[in-house]
Amino acid sequence: MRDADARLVERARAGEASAFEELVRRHLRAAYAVALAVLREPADAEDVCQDAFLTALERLEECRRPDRFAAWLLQIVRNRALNLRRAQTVRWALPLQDVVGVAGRHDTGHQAERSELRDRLLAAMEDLSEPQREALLLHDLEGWRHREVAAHLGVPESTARAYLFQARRRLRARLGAELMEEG
Amino acid sequence: MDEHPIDLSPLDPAADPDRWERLIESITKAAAPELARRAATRSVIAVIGHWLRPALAAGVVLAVAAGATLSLVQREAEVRPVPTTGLEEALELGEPVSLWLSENRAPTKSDLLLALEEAP
Repeated sequence: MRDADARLVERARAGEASAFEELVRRHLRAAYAVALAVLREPADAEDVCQDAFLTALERLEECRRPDRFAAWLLQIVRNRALNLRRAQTVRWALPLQDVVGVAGRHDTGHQAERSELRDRLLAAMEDLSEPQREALLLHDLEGWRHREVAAHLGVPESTARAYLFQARRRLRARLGAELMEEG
Repeated sequence: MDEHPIDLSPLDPAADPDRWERLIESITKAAAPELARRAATRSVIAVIGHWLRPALAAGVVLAVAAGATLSLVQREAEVRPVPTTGLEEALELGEPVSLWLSENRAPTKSDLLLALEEAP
């Protein structure tokens, strides 16, 4: 994977569109997970991903280890997401459900149900710290290993496991309480 | 430890393939000008490289030829005796005086006596 990334980076540096698209397809999900962990808003996470990929392309010569392109890219994603969050302090004063609810207004049937589940998960994730959210999304959504999550967060593997454990427990507690309230 | 993963599939961005593809498309479309710029830069470098390679090869051949010629000329120069026309020869001085001059030294008394004795 890393060798392939290095080759793709080299070709993208030469302006090969297919190589850049392949890099996008390979790493967009992880980029999205990191952005979502910071921003907790899918549309914003998508915007940040687009912005981060373009920034990465413009600065591709600064990627000194093309075999570690993913780590470099996710750092850009995180920084961009943090910048956006800082700029959004007014917007974040609104409850998350209100913000997400506007986007899901035109959904119907299965989509609406899915959208509601998504909103609940996102709302429940507000209780988590940022590293907990990143650990949870990268592990449970993207299928990363503990070792990879730890490397990305820059913490020992035991700490990454602890983040994941706490995130799951809190999320279950929050979602479980909501379901009990409804029942 | 809570080892059971939580089903986060509602958050999966690729769950809606159309939306996902649109996102990828929007990224690649926005990247198109930068990719075109890079491709153009690379093609200029390629053109220069295309001309540079034969030019470099010709340069190397010329350098080798020049080096060979130079070494041949030098060798000839080393072999051919260089005529040394010193001051003593120009003045047509005799044997002992020319010797002193070539050795760059002043004659001693004994040299002078010897020279006087040997003089015709």
